Amino acid sequence: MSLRRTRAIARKEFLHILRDARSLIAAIAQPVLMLLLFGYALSLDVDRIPTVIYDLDRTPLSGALIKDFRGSRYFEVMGEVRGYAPIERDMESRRALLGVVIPADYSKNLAAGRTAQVQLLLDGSDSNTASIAKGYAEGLIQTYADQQRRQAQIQRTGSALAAPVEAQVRVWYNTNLVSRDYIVPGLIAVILMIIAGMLTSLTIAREWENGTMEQLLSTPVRPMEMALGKLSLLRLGLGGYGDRFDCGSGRLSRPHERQLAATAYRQRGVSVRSAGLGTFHLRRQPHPIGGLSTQHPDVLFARVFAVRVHLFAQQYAVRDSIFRFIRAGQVFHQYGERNLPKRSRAGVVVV
Amino acid sequence: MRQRLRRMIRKEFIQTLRDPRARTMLFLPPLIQLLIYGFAVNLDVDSARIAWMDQDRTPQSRELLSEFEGSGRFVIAATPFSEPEMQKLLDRGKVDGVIRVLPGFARDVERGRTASVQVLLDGTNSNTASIVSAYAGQAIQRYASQVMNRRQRVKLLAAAGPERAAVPQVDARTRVWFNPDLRSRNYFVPGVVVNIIMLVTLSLTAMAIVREKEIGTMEQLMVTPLRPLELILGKTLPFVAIGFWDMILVVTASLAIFRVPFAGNFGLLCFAAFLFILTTLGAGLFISTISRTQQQANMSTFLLFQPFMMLSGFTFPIRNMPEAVQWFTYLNPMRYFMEIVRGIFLRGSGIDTLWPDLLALGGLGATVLWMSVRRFHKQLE
Repeated sequence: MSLRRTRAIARKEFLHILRDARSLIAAIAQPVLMLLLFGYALSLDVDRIPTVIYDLDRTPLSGALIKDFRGSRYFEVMGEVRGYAPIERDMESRRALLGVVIPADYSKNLAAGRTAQVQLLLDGSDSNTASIAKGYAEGLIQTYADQQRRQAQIQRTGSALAAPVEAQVRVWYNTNLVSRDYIVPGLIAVILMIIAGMLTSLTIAREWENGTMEQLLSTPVRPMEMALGKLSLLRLGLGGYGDRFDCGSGRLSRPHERQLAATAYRQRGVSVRSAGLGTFHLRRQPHPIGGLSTQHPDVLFARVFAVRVHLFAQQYAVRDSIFRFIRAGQVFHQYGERNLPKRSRAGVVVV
Repeated sequence: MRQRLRRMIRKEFIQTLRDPRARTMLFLPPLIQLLIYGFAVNLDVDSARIAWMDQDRTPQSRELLSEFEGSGRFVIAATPFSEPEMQKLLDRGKVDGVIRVLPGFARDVERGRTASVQVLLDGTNSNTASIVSAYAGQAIQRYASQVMNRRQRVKLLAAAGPERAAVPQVDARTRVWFNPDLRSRNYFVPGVVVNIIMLVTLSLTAMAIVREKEIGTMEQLMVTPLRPLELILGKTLPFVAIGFWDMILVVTASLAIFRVPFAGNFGLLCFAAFLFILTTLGAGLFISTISRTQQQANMSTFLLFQPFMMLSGFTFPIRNMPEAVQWFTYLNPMRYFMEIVRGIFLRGSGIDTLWPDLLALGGLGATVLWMSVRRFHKQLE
């Protein structure tokens, strides 16, 4: 096993990459594009839900509820309508996601101390947004109901009963519930797989195609040296990964320098493995398309979500280990070196 | 002319079906995408795993527990007894959240003070965290209402007599239209139709043309009596058929296996698919004019397909994107077809609501196709 031969192969690979500008650009531009998209453009967070209101009651009491909807940052009231037909039309043309219908006996019921009903109509086609919007709307109505109850109690008995139980919600690890913080670390695993796997399989396939593979095999180069020389490409992946992680962490709300070094060390293992995977695939199918099919776009996409799929399990091990580090860092950040307080009455209501 | 065209189409079919790579392209992407987006990817929070940490252990806290268990949305995965244990559960990601009842809970409830229940959420997946937080809040709210009602009745009866014992409540009745169970599968699987058609027609068209250029048979074709128009038609029409074939495959699978509702008109779907395929064929033609090898063609397809798919509203809503990016998606044919497909599947929309999308799709298709044909024509000469 000669280091000189391995270095020669590595240098040859490097020159190949430099010469084929298009592959290089594709290999680098694509992850950068994904990072930009996931960092800035794509998000699952829900706010400014377009809402229409159908008020059959038209009293100050119903007006108060409408004012609550208008004032909330989660809802954007597009307007008030008369009738169910406009609501249907708006939902079908996707102008509105939520319709609030206040029945005619609303204020009468409230004044008499009965249960007043409010109807919420949701467009369920986008199930994710609809679930979250449903939670927000019901929460808003609940808050409003509590206020009403308190006022009624003060009116009748002169004092208000405090709410018996209240939920103190504290969100760990991603306090502002930004979906980007969840997606970008997973992207790191995906990008590594793309770069290492794609570059490696492309180069080997190109060699078979051009016929230079047979030439290589007739040289004194051993298979092990060739594999190692090609794996040196992962240095490109790692180098790219390094500044990509920095870019990525710049977009995260809390960078964790301590963990970066540890994660990068761990990542090396994945690069080697996916470069190896690329090499393995191409041993059997000397065709460039075969290599690329392992990076099929739809399969890549799935990894960004929490998927219970056992293919590419190593990606999840990587992502989980990244998360572990990030979580450790954040908990560390929150509580510092001291122990957790005994009765942590976490007084901050986040949601 | 028709005979030459027919022979050309036949040759194209034979060539495509003979190539094993292209054959797998017919079946593998639909299968993978259906498996992934139909079964695996699931944004729903059907049962959230929580840890229940009861430091009070009184009938009141057990009542609260039964409220959580009875809602059907939670699975009590662990009952930690100490804080380090609870932290470990959250750090390892074993639970989505921890509900912590502090000691003195029952005493506070009985005394009429406000008792606190801590809900510690794992915010790593912000999506799940929002939903779990809403569910937990609702469960706690239900318990609070029960206690409140009991208390109020006692207090008001004492103060104001039975007639005024009722206290106003506002009740929200939610009705979900178009996807009543709020299953994310119904949201994703129709989008797979769009993805598959785009992917298959784009890559097969580009690869077919570039393959001829690579092998060198393109020059042979040009010395035949075949006219350029017949050449282009012959190269693209087979893939229209293949696109339709894949669409029917995916629609059948989504109806039969995934039971996605289909409320609209199948004929309208076919018409919209035809317009969409025009666009993708044009894009495939264009890619073939800028690629010299099949490898380059495949890579260009991939480079084009990925951002377009992500910006089409398939998984991430377009409404959540920044303004500039939203303007860019107006150029994306997948966006319009995605709207149309979801409208036909879930909302039962017809031409009256879908005509803007259809018009945009047709306009885009015509433009892209015309530009690509011109470029291809020029290259042929």
